[in-house]
Amino acid sequence: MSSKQIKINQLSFQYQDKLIFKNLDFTINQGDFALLTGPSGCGKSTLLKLIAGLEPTSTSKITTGSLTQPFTNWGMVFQDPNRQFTMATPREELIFALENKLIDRVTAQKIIDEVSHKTNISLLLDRPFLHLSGGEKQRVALAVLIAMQSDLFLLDEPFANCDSHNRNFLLNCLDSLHQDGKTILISDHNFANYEKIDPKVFAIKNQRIKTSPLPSQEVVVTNFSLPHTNQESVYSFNSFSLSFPEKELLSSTNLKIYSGKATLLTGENGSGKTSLFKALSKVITYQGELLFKDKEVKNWRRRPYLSKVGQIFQNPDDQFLNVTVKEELDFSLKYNQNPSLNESKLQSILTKLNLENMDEQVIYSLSGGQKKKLQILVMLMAYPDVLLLDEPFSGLDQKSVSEVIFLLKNYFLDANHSLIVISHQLDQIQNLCDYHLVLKGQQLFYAK
Amino acid sequence: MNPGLKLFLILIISLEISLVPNLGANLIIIGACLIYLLFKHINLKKLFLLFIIPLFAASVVFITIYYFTPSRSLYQACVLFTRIYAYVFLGAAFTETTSFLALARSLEQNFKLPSKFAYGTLAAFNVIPKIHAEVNRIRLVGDMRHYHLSFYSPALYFKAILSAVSWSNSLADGMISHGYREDKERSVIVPIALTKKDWLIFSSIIVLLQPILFLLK
Repeated sequence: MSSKQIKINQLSFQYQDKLIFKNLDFTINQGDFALLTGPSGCGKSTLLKLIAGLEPTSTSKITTGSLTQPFTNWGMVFQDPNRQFTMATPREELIFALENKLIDRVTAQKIIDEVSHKTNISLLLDRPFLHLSGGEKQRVALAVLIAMQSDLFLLDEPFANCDSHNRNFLLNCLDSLHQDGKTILISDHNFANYEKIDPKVFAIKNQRIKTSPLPSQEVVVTNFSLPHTNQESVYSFNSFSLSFPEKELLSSTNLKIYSGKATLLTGENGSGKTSLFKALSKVITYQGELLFKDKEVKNWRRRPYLSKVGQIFQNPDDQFLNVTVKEELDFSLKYNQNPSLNESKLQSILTKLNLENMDEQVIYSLSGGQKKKLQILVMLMAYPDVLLLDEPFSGLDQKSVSEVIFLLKNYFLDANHSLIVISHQLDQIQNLCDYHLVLKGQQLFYAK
Repeated sequence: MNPGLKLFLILIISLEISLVPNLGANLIIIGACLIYLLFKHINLKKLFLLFIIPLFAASVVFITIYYFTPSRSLYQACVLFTRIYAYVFLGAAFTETTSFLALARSLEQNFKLPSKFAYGTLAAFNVIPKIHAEVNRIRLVGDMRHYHLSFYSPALYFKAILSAVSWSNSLADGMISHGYREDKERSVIVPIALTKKDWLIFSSIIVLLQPILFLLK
């Protein structure tokens, strides 16, 4: 069998009128494991979509050069785990994909059993996607690609919503696929545990691409202090518990979350972190007592409560109410509650975040990282007493992470404004958070 | 019964009762659907809603015909009143006993509907709960950003439509990335049977309906 090659030759590509790539020139051989790196918004997702053939669309075009992609049997995992499934459950999705590959009934059953065992999704097969966590969905997404016996795996930040356990699990899956001769092209911001795979690394910067050595990843050891219990609290949990009909998430909990502090919340995928946020934002009900400013959350009326408790959603699109960047910022300025963020200050922050001169750009066409920064900015202007952040750093490069932390510390945190942060990305978290809450085995507790 | 055939049966019956005004036929159809639904163990709360929700529309039609037309025909008013219920119960007899996925598979396998229609509609159908969750979340975000969106706010629906559009692009990308190609052959992993028994039930009901519609007074 002759070896296949993805060949990109002097390729320039533009989106609307904006040049994204200029004279890209590189080759990926069959059986390669290639890692794409680069700052947020540099075009990693776009490049993967180009290779997949999902770009160019009606709003984008290849201006010069060529792209040869001989793999017909490819599959892709998207950055947003919600947007890659067309069926209602993992089993239906697997069947749909296998039917597309003309697999017969008996073989299909065998394949479904095998891949669900391999990717640890056997218990998820018949649960609706609506009830799966981000990390669980990414395991299903990979399972579908393995089931399809794809030769080329395109993965766009597949671990952005995964904890380290899930991440390592999926990386090991990918490693064994690589050993089996599959071609894998993955984009990622986190370089931990790639050494043993020894990938070819391609860095995208300033519209160009070049090979580079694997960036080193510092091992993150967190060391938080335990809170003194005599501080003022913003939330009190008393015999608080959370459960779904089919699963208990959190058993009876007694603790406080402290005012004016940033508290990190960690836990495995599916342990119930996002559900805890839903209880804190009055979206789902809980059992026991939960006091916000000494008043039971159930007894708070919805609107006054939500003006004091805001959330940064995992999926940035959920945060926006307008179409263009300018409309969104004007809207936020109109309802701005943050005394330290006025119009001129905002302009300098936009420059710092590389979001300047994007006024007329449609928000949904921004890159994942750009959306994330804009999302955080609009919630800083809403200025609630407590801001819940659900994976605020996913899709952000290290520089953007430190910019976001700078913003949160300088324009939000003070004696009356608190943060609760869910994050799997722990690299710089100690610069932001004071305390560390762990959700493990249905228990919620402070840890170092 | 085969889901695709069941759909055609419901469509044919609905079309016939909309062309032939017959009170007796409408009542028999409602009664038959009711028995079928009870036989299929429909949830009683849902059954109650099936009676209550169309009541307003049906009453409006009844009052209009009975009080505000020159003929003031009680019979015609009753025909239209029961016709609305007949549509609702026929619809329920279908939706309460058939999954959309089974229908899509049946239309593709048994009736040779191009898969892009079958799966395109199915994918859109599967997005509905997501859109519902989205609308709730948009209202939540509005409140968190100090801008209340009531259920009649145009801004709420504008944003909902925007997300539906962006969903539709992702759906297409999602289907392609899982190996779907328009006009390409697909295998059948979950076969949907179309048996002689299905055809027998289908034709018996159609044959039985004709004397009821045209002879029953």
